[in-house]
Amino acid sequence: MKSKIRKRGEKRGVSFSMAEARRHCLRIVGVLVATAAGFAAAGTGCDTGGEGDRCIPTSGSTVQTTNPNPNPSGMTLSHDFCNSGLSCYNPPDCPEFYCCPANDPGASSNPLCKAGCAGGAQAILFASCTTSTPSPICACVTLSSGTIVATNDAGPQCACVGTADPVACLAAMTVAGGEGGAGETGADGGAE
Amino acid sequence: MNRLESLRRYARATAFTCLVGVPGVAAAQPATPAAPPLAPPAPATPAAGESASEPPAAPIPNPAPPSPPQGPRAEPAVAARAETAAPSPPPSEENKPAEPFAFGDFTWLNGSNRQHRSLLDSEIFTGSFLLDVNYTLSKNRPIDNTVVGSTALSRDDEVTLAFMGFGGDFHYKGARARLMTQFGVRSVLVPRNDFSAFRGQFDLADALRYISEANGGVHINALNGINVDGGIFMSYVGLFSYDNFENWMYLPSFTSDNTPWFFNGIRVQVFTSDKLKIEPWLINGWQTYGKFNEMPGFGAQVLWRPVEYFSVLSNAYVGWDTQDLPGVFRFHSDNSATIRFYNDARGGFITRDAMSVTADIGGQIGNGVTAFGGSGTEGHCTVQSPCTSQFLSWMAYHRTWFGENFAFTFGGGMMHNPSRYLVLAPTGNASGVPQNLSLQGLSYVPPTSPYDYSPGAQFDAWDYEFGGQYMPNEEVTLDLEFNHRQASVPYFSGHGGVTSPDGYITTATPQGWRPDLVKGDDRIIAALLVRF
Repeated sequence: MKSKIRKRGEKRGVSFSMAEARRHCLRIVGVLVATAAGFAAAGTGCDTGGEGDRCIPTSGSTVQTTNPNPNPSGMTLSHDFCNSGLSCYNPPDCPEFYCCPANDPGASSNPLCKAGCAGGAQAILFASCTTSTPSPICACVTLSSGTIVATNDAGPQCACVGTADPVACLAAMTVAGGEGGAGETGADGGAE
Repeated sequence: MNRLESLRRYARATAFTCLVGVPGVAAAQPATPAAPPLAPPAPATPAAGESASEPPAAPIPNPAPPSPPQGPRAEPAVAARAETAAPSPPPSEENKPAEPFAFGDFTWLNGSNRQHRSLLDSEIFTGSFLLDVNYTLSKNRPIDNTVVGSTALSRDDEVTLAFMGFGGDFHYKGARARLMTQFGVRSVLVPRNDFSAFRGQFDLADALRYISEANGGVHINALNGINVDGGIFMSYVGLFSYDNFENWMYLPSFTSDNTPWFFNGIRVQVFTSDKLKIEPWLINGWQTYGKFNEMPGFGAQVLWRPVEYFSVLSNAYVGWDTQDLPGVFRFHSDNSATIRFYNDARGGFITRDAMSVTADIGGQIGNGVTAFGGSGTEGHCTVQSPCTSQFLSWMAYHRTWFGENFAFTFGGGMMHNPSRYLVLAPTGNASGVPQNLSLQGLSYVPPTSPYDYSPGAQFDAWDYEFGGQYMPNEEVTLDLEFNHRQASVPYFSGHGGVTSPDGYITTATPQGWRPDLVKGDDRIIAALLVRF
């Protein structure tokens, strides 16, 4: 072994001993071990489709018919990549799909699986603010780059700003208004 | 010396350094033979930041690899002078001023070329070829394979040609020029951060995206060399080089990633000695092709290398870089120190050990923002009650070499940037700025929840990273590293991506659909870097 190494080295015009070769190997192993240990410690494992993760719907995914255009392309993935026990679900008044408990998605404690999906309903309403048919809630806020930078008291509908599901809140208010009770809906009215 | 002795010596030197400071460091580097300037130190005087990249200025015959860029970008310093000399009689050999930074071997520096010789060299041209291919995988696994918040990484879970460039340095007598082309994703990734291109016509971003460096000028034989150049040149703000081949790590911390890679304007490199370079700039703006307002930007770089094992790089900038707000004055100070604690190339398990520290401070003043002590809040920034708009950051890296072929680096940093004026804009539907048509001619839908760039918006972030590099020869580097980034607000690409519900720009996006931004990002990065 030693002579082989020597020969190889000599061929290249370099001469190195067994000890040097061993040292070289040690360096390689040392760097690899340190790097591997680091990666292991950092925990870079894969975890596909946990509860609350975004997902692409399959043909069997639940799409809320009340949602404004929730899946405009009609896209469906050939397989469900949510983890076991979860399915790709479109919560009410939510523009996105999330991995939620398959049997009773609404019962999840994850706000992304609930109606309004943690700001999703509000995003639907705010997206209308720059269109020709803005939501009544647009008068209640001043937006900058899609973010609320100021609130305005523009009417009873403003009570829906910041609720879990402002779409449902506005709908409930409209119904209540039709029954003569406009403005009596609380901040959380109808959200759940 | 056996390995044990070497380790002992290393430990002693490090401990001594900690206790005594720099003098101890000097003691720890005995073995290295008086650093013969390996390589003809960058060809000509390095100028700027140090990166080696820059080619020497003029004439240096066979200069070593033009070191790239950064730092001292080698501009031809002294060497050049010798030949340049036009009018005045060439100084005799004895009186010839020393070539800048040629007294030592600075190839160990973060942001400098580690090559000792230039393979593509001739009397009047020193050629250069750079290739940067990476693969990165985020734990978030964005479905649109898009990385948010980096100028080094762009695509997730794909092998990506990040950068391919060729060009070189022309040097003849007192004339000099440098051209480096830029292909690969970086030709889109970097120009997209320049909003000055939205001002006026002729599409500056497209016109210039395939050029990373293009400048030319003259070398003057005065002091230890003076270079006057105009065009696009590298900045070296944030220590790291634009050419990842020269960096200790592939993905730099925010201090480097969020500060300029290039400037467009005029610079004058003055080498007052072989240890000091002073380089004032007159430029269009803060990493901009164009100008935002009426005033240009002004800046300067100072590079000081008193000894081979210590280097200081400082950059300063003032300018007016906010659209429609000519009263917003920006200032920035970037300061780095790099020190080599130990150096013994003749054996031992550890052959070299070094560290770099960088700290930046900057801010904006005027038109409703102030650098310090702002009392306003987002949406309520006024001249009477301005919002804080500042940039405070630092980063530190430690690198250990194992022989000449292996190195392990770890480091990290933090960034505090209220008003977010230096935060890299998320792309796709998360962008807070206009998105042009895609190359396929498809238009991105209007952002429904774009990233907020309003004055007063808060942003804090930190990161750490570690990894190894295998350098089988002077032309190739293999890099493998882990990086964790964390932000105080949702910023990085989450599993849902920033493009559309299924990640394709051709898919219609529902009204109100939000890009999936998250606060944390863990990723591994592998890269193949080649340089000739």
